[in-house]
Amino acid sequence: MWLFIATSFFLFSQNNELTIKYDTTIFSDIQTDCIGVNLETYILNDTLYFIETKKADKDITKIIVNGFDIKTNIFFKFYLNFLNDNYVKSRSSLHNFWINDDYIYASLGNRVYRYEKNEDENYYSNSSYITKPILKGDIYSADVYKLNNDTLLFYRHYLNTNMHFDKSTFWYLYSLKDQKIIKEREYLDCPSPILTYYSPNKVMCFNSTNVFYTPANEYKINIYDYNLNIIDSISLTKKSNWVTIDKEKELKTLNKYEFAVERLYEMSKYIWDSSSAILKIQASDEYLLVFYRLIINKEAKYFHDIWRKENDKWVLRKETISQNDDELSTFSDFVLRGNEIFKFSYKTPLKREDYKNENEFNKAEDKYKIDNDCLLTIDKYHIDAK
Amino acid sequence: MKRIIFLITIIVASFNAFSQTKYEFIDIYGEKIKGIFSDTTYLITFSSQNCHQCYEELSEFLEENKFWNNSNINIFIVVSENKTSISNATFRKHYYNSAKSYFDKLTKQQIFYNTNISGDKAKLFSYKYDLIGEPKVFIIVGKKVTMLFYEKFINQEKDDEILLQM
Repeated sequence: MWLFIATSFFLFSQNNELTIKYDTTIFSDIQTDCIGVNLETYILNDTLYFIETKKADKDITKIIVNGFDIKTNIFFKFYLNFLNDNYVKSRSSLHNFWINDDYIYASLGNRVYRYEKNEDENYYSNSSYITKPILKGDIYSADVYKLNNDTLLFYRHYLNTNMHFDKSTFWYLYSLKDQKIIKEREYLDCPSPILTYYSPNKVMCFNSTNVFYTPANEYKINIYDYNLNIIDSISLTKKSNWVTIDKEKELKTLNKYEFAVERLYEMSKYIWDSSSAILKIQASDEYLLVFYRLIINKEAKYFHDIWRKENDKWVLRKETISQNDDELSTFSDFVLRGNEIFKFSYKTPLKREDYKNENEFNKAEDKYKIDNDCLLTIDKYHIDAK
Repeated sequence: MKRIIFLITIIVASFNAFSQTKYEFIDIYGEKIKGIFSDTTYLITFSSQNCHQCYEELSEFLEENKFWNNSNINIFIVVSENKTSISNATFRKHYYNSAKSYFDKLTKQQIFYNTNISGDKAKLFSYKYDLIGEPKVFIIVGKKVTMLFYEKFINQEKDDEILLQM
């Protein structure tokens, strides 16, 4: 195992700067809350699949899987049915799903289910569940990701009130082919428990060869191979306006209160509102996007950076992109594939040209949003030279 | 003549009562409204950051006691969130959807948004409360206003009832 730490300070020239460019918006007929919905996504070949987890939670026995054909811009849907399974009926949490040519898999509660195609190709039904023996107790709300080598990565980054924070983040590997654990549970560095309380809390991601994890309270991203051996690490040690979380204060608050709601209130007010952190990382084979907050004039502001893989090294290509300058935000739900970005957003079908002025249009949009749901859209962007 | 004087007195008194109210709401469309309450009115504070179990218990209590179907009782949800959020139509609708997920009989006419917010505190009548915290129920009967924490309200314990100025 070798570790290479690359610390980059403004190494890029103006000519090499990258930017995120908007391409187009495609409307679906899926009606949703205008503020957005919680989505789980999976991309296979040229199709982007997504499930609204809230809808799934309402009726877990019949889950709608939406598909979006990236090449033709066409939306479609199919269904996952659960058959006679009392365990599933008592659950209300869909974590993740993934698809291959023959099956669809979904993790629910502490099980991973496999679905087979019915005669009616729009329906898949569960034939069996897998992995039950290895999922016990505190793994209950873990996320499960299928890596490209038919391995499942079980990952958890959440602090509940009964758990000590140094055991809040862990992962392990399960081989789908051999049906067994191939890497035992390993605890990850989670220096700051408060990070697990705030969304989007996406501090782990992967591409076709690597897994990325950030301890988040500092600007550092560790890169692992698929066996979870650390092979590289990128960091910006002198990021301006970065205010590290006051650990002493945090631990004091954590020990003072027993219940999460009390901790949350105190921590929000006295620690989180004045601290920096990485909130989300997203990687493709070529690009890594890092979303974080900085404290500027005592206020939290959100930014992101673009890293690109060049000659096997990750190089910072655009730093501190303000989220006012870019429609992509820390809280956007999007999928990154190569240099393409597919962002989910929620819009009214009203058109600006049908109204006399901006004010009238805004009023009409507001009224529409109150009386109707919005339509889910996919906004396409790509990362390109400036 | 006595009747007319009495009527004028009532009108003036009512006018004074409402003009003295320092609370103001907006409705789901963002229009300013004054809370004008008749009969028995319950105002339930609502924040998306509050305890969800509390709203489930409150909802069960209102259902079991048939509060929603009682023509002598008005129930309003008073959303207490930060000013920026409630000035945005998308968020107002979101809070309505969120409240409706607990109180399924709630209509768009039964949700108000408290504009009397300063920092992380809201004010309703003379009572200041934190935006994050357990739900409170303000009970208005005629000109008498009292406030109970939700747990006392659903247990019908009035020992900690706080009397407020209209």
